[in-house]
Amino acid sequence: MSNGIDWGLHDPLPGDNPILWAEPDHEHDVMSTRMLGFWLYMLSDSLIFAALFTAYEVLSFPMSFAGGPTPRDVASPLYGYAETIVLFSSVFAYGMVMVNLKAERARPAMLWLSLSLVIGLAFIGMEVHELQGIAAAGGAPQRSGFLSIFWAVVVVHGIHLAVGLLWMVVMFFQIARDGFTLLVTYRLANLKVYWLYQGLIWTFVYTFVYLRGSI
Amino acid sequence: MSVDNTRPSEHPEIAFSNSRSYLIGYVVTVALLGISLLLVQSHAMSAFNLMASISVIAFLTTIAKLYFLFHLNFSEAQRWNTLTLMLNVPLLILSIGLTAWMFQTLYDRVMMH
Repeated sequence: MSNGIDWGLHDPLPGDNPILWAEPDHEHDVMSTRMLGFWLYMLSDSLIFAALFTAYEVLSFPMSFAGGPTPRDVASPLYGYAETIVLFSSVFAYGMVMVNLKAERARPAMLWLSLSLVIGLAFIGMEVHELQGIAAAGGAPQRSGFLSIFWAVVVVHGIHLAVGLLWMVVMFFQIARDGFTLLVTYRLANLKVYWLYQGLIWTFVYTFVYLRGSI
Repeated sequence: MSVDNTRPSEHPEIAFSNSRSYLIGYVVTVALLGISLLLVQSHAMSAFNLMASISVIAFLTTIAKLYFLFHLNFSEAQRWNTLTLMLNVPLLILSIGLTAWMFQTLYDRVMMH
């Protein structure tokens, strides 16, 4: 390939004695198959967030505030940035799980996994604290159309994180029980995609809900 | 493709993990969103320009995450992940963009604000 990208679209050119099939028996690539499937699921998950961001866009016109709190009142950019640092730290800690998985070091991997879990819990704690404050200040979800979608975006993202944390607990015990077997390895790799993906979604929540609200 | 299922840690989708790229990705994305925060807090420019700036920074943050954390590229192990993501982007743009456009013009025509 001249441009260095092999899209796998062309058969190799036949020589004098073309080999029409691979002689040796070979196994299926279990990990690649399952990880591509999970990746496609994550892409479809992005459409859930697309629907939520669309509704947020539609419901953040002034008449949707119904005289209640506005984006500026409920979303603090500074507090949101603190949440950003916490969540991205958890994502980084999970990256270190993968580094130790690659080197087949089970104990450091479990240590980083626990760290990622604890920091993720701290993020959820910050979010609960934030939402309690908003509700106490008259910003309950039923107050206005805007507040309904604000809560929906933040809570759906939070639920995704809670599921990821539960998954981490399960993987902690699977590493302890089985070590880095094929099944444990691809599950950890899928959880990596899942966890990094939640960090990616947060980039948009922070930019288009927290920062935009203060412009 | 031949593969050795007894050595999962040597699989290409594990092998690209390295602490350097995770650290770079962490620092770069936190720094980029920090720039957004500073721009918004200081009201450095007009509302429209601020909105455009933080959108561009969110896009750059996304690219940094996809490159340093997800390790997406056109290698044999990753090219289908990259391609499906690229095909997913028009779906996101159309589903958000067309609805936003539709309601924007609707609100203008019925003068609800």
